[in-house]
Parts: sequence; C-alpha cells; structure tokens
Amino acid sequence: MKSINVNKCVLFVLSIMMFSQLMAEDGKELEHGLFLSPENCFLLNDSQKCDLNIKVRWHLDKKSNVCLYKNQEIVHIQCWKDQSNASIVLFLSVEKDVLFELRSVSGGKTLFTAPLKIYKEVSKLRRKRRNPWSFY
Amino acid sequence: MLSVFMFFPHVIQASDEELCEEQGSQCVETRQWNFGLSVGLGIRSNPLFESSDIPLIILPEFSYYGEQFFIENLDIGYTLFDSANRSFNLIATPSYDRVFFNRWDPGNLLVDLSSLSSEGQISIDNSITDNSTHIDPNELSNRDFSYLGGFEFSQEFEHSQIQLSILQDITGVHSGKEIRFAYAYSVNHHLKTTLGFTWKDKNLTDYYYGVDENEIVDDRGVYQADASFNPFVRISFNTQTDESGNNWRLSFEYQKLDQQISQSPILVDDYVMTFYAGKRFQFK
Repeated sequence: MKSINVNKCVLFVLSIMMFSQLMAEDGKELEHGLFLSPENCFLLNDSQKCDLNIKVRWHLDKKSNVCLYKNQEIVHIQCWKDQSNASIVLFLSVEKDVLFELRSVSGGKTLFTAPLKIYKEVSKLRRKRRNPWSFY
Repeated sequence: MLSVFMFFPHVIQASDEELCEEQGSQCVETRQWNFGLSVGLGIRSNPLFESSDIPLIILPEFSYYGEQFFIENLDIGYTLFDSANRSFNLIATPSYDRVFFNRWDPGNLLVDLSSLSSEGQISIDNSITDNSTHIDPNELSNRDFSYLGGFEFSQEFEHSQIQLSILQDITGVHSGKEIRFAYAYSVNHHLKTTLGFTWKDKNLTDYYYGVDENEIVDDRGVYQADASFNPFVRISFNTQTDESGNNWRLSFEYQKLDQQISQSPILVDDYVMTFYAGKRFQFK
C-alpha cells in the first residue's frame, strides 16, 4: 500500500471528479432507477389511510420491455414496450408501506425497487443530520 | 456559548412533515434507536512507522434522534436550528486521534472513517526497530481519549452541501481546537464527490504527534508539532436503498497530511488512503 504512487491516485480522483461534473451537466435524466414523488405519506390524527397521487418515474440505460408492480403482486400496474424511461401518476389509498418494483418482461427480473413509506402520528419525523465530513 | 442562545432564543424548526415530504430528504423517526451494520472489504493505509494498514470489514453504527437531541455513533448533538436547507447544531465528538494509539479505542470499533484522518492502528508486531530517526509509537506514553465540543453548521444547495464544525477540547486533555470542513457535490442519486479538510491547532497536533523529551530514552530528537491542515478528496457511490433500507456502497478517500504531522518521527507517510466497498444493512 505504501508503494502506491500517490500522485497517480490524486490524478485518478481528480479525473473522476471532472467526469462527475460532466455527467451532472447532462442533468437528472441520466439517473437510472425507479423514483417516487412523494416518497413519504403522513397520516393525520384520525386518518387510517393515506390517499394520495403519486408520480412513479423510471429510467434505464437502454430501451427495454418492463412492467411496474407493487407489493410483489402478480398483476402489473402498467407495462411499457421498447422504452428507456417513462412516468405515471397513480392514485393510492393505502394503510401500509408500498413497495414499487420495475421488472423486465423477459425473465421477470427485478430491475429497481422504491418504497413509499407511510408514517402514523406516533412516529414523528425529523431530518437526519447532514454530515458530509464523515466518510458515510 | 450564551451568545448563540441569544441569537437563537427559541428552537426554530420548520414543519417536520414539510421537510420530510421533500423528495430525497433523509428523515428518521424520533425517539427510536436505529442500528446498522456495513459488511464489506476495505482498507485504510497507515502512515505510522512500523504499523500495518487497517482492514475495514465490519462497521457497526447506531443513532438515536429526539426532537432536537441526537446521538450518531460517538457524536452527540443538539439541533438549535433546522430549516429546509440549513441547520445549526451544538455538537460533541471524539477527536479520534487517539484511536491511533489504542487498538481498543471506541473509535476503532465504531469507525467514523473520515475522522481517522491521520491515524491508524498500532501494529500487533511490537518489535522495537533499530531505526535511528523514526520512533515506534509503542515507545511513547499514552495519548488520552478526548472529546471536542462546539458548533456545526451545514447548508444545503440544489446539488451540493457544505458543513463547517468549530470544535474545542472539552475534556481538558490537550486544550486543542479543531475545524472540520466539507463540500459535497451530488452528481446524481448515486454518485457523490467531496472536498474537505481538518485543521488541528498546535495543542492538538502536538499532543498526538509530538514527541516530548521525557518520552524517549536515547539520542533521537524530540519533536514539537505546530498547527496542521489536512485536506481530503473523496468519491463515493451508493446504490438505491431497497425496501429494508439496505444498499451497496463504494468509497475512496485520499487525505494529504500536513508536514507538521508527516514530519513527526512516528510517521512514515504523508497521506492516508481509504477504500471501502460493501453492503450496509439497516436494522430496527
């Protein structure tokens, strides 16, 4: 480890940072994954269910045939053919967390998952400490 | 300290739900302990003389959040102000420098890796070397565990955030001061780059990396360290968390040690490199 060329390592990291900046310029659309908006729902005092419109957005690195599922149900919510990205707005009325899954049509492999979290009144939330100085 | 409370006469907090409904914001349930564990492969180079690199395999973590109070591993804090894009905390945190001198220091078990900026783990091999310029850390007297207390400010921008902590020894061990700064840029949901530094004043740097006259019995010279400035650069990649909150992570960090530290006779390198790749598990 001690024989590692330090200058080369620094150069390597700086190169990656420059590459990162270039990627950022291409905007959020480059992000691959399954994204929800909102990601959380908060039940009011006497409510038992969360009634909300949720936007589900996905983005893949190549065109594919995929389907969207929730809570490991057999029946899909919607499928897309030969697309690399799409979004859908769904109305939900739910009591518990919902797990969305994007699966490939061929083989049924799960490509991405995204949870919608339901919080009841008793579980008050606050933001976590932002600590970029830390390694994690 | 009092002036801060005068500046913030009341704890100011935006609606928790409001803040937490924002996409991407990281929230946590209050009055509940959170436990996690990272399992993977990693290593941190050790700049110490006659010392082995540090393996990073299992990294436990825990946290507890009250409405303002919080514990994050060895850090204890109190949030004075929190809004959508900035927060201001009172904080108590270990100096971490002592983990270098004690294999069983809590900081070695709850590894806050970035804080191990200039330290490592003493080699199990305690053989005394005949090197005439370097000094085996095992030959020196104990460096005591110390806690730093102070203020921590963080500001969030659209794709980036900064953090500044101004700290002072609150345990009367060395009366040292430390400033921690980081600028993190999120390229996307997965990739983040960070630049930062840790500044340690003369008292703190010298306490851990200086060599006093009464610590050596031969003709090797004493070493008095001055204040040190240790910049670092880091790149980290995290996958999307699954339904249980688990995810994969990969990080690389390079920290350049100030000459005031690297010229100490107990050090042989002027840098610390850290690499870690593993999976983080979240328990409740």
